[in-house]
Amino acid sequence: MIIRHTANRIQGHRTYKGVLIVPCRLNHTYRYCFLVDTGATLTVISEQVAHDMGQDIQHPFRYMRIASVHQVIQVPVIRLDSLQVGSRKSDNIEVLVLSLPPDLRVDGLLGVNFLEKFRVTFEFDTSTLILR
Amino acid sequence: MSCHTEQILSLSEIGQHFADQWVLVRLTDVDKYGSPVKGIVVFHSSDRGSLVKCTRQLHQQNPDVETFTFYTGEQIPEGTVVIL
Repeated sequence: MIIRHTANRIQGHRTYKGVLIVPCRLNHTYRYCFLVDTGATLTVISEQVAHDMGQDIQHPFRYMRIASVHQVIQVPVIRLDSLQVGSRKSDNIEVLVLSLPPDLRVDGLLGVNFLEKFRVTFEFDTSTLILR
Repeated sequence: MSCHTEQILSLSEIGQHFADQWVLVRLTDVDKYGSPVKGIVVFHSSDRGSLVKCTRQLHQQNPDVETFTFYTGEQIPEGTVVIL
């Protein structure tokens, strides 16, 4: 039997040079704008978001080495109860806590550990992320 | 700074009233997919870090409150290319 999932269209917006930003809901009650990043293995939240939510980043779930384009650093990993985009939700999801550059005025990066749970389509012409 | 208003605004109206600032919004309306549509601005500042204390207080006082924090201006400034 083929199970067809209804497409969930998430209206985002594109910023300078076209990267896509969408609203995300963390732990049921906190919403932020995340940049959709298919190059990020794990989803990232900013340190401010972790502080907003009262997360203890001094005693994280674990630490992980991350390799970005210009450095390799050790960063804390915490586990969120849930991460929801549109009506698509993932429970008990691990996220990295990173200090994002001040010029990047988003609160996180939506990475592959969330996106891989769905069939993902980008509609860049309508600034829409589609999750099936 | 904190806002002493209970005026419900759409996100685009919030962007016009609080240009180029970080805003903490208590959500009042979402669309059928759960995306934010309208809310009340609780706090606004050009400094992202200054929203933390107010956000924590708001959620501690009312655990069911739904908030949306975002920057109203260009989230990636013109001339900045993102390579993460």
